Amino acid sequence: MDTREKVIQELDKRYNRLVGTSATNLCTHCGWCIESCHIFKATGNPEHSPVAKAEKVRRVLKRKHDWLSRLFPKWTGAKDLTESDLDEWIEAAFKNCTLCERCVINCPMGVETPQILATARGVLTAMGKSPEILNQLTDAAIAREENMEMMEGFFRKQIANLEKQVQERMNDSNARIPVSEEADILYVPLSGAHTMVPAALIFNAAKANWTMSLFEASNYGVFVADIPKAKKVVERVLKEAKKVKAKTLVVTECGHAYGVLKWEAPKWFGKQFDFEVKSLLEVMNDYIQEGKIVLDPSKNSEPVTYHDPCNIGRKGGIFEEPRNVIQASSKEYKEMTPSKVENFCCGGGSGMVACSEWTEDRLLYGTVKVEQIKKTNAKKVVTACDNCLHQIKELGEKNNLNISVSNVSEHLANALVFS
Amino acid sequence: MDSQSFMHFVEYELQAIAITWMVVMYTIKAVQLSRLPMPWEKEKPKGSGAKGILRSYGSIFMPWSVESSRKHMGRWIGFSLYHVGCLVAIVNTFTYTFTPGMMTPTVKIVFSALIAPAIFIGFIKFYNRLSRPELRHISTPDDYFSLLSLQLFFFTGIMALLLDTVFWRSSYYIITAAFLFYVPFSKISHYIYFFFARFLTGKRYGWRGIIPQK
Amino acid sequence: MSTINIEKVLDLKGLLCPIPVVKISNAIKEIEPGNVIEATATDPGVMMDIPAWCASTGNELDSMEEAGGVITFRVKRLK
Repeated sequence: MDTREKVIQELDKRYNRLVGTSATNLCTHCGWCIESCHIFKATGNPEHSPVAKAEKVRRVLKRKHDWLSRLFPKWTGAKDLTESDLDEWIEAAFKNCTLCERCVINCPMGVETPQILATARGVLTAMGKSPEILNQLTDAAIAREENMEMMEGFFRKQIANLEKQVQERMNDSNARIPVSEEADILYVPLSGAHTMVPAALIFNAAKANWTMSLFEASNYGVFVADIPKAKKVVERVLKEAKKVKAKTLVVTECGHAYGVLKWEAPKWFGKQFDFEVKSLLEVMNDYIQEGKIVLDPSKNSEPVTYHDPCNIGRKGGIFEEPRNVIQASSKEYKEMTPSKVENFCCGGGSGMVACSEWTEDRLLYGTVKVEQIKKTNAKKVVTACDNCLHQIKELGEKNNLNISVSNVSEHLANALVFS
Repeated sequence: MDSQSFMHFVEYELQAIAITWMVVMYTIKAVQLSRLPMPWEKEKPKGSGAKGILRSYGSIFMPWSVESSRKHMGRWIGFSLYHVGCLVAIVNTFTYTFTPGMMTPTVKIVFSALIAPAIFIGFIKFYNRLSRPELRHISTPDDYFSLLSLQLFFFTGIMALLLDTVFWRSSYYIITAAFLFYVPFSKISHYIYFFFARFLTGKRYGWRGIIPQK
Repeated sequence: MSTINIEKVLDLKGLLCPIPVVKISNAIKEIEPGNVIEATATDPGVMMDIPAWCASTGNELDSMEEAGGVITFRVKRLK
């Protein structure tokens, strides 16, 4: 089978109603999406507009599925796939699009460009052409379960060290980080301590019945649109949730992990899970509303703003909870403009942060975010996604923004008053 | 064929054939689309799918709610005038034939006045497509042809309304029929896909509590 | 007794996961098979991520120690 046939076969596997609707004559090439894209705004390159990126894939899909394009491809801009097209797809789907969906909400027709480009990501992965590091990180997550006997020792040692930090900060030798024990809440962190210690402080302060997962929430399989592997990464957590008899699975502050565990994975498995899936943002907000934690906002005295991660806000539906948490734990809150559903992507999403070969491009793609942050006059940027956290920290350093950056739980934990 | 029977043919038989053709083509397309697998949401909703769908369809009439129209109000007004022109030019093909009593001189002038801005907007669209590099980059022959053929449709529509000669009237109907034959294959069929796309996107965004925004 | 040939030394202190893995993944391509990268990091996440990455890419975790909040590890390129 030659490359073209294999690509068409892989495209067919992924050709669903969403892609099919957006892949033929829905797009009128009106150009309204162009200025909605943070990458086009940063570069001004016509190749970087959402429609131009979608068109690279759409023209191949049209050649197969659109009647007129089958007969007169040049008339509609359709074309047969060539080897060099795949290189262009890598640029369009991985490097020059963070799948943030800002173009979708600005399109008068509702063209789902990110669905088309995510389809291209899946095809490129099947062809062995997606970024190596994203595949390595996916495989490493699967290896973590397969080598759990060896890994668990490392993990428990790490947690024991972090538990001491929690006890010191709370001045309470009974504070604990239970690991994979029976509990109402299974908290799924990332690998880094910054997603473990603040959450442990909050759960302990709220006297929650909780346990820490042995696994990390992040799922690089979804960035390369390798759904079978992404499902494996999720399955590790599902098995653990069943083992610990969790009623609620709480996902740490990680945009894509929340999107996967809350919205996408139930679709992959074809059912709603036996437990509720919540973001740590929602849980923190609940604890504040229910009076389970006491806060001293003066501990966060600097003006603070919030960056809505695309996967949490525009794709996830969480807007008010982080704002409530930040406002309850800070003296001065400043809203970014635009924000919420219209917020701009930071430029680091959908795996860009891990692709070191595109670092310069990524920092350029953060130009709009830098301007947004400057306009707030905030001294601290709080966000709820590790990719955004990395990106905004680097943007701050590169552009001398003189800001500190943290996730919401760290910010909240800083204002906690321990009784 | 005398001019009377020719006019009857282009206004009735030809239109019936063209509309039937268009409906059959659209039906085939709709069936093809609905047979594709659809990954519906499985998690319990955070918002309302129905509200999302309504908002998704309604946002085109709420320019303040979407940045791409809010920041380019002139463009949105142009977009609206253009589509009003399209609608009136299409409605006119029916009213002209089936309700001639309704087509008083005043109505004809009102219809013409509603179609005329679309011609003006059409020229602006054409100019933008040629002059803006990011639009030229994505434009295909179908884009230019569709735009120009609509200009012709609008123009003959106005001439038929104002002059009402056999030449302009038959030109209008022949172009309408040609249009109906071509539309299912071109990007002009976007107005059918719009209903599918907005439904799917609106349902997901509504379900997840993303729209409507509080 | 085999000798350890440390070809590259990396300072990954202050970097949060997955960046240490990204740096190791890039650096491993720059050393000869059989040689070793020695790195220091502060994010405890590396204690899980690096062994998992080694297991999935067919490289060898030679050693990993933690002292005073600094994790020192060695990765050997096998192929």
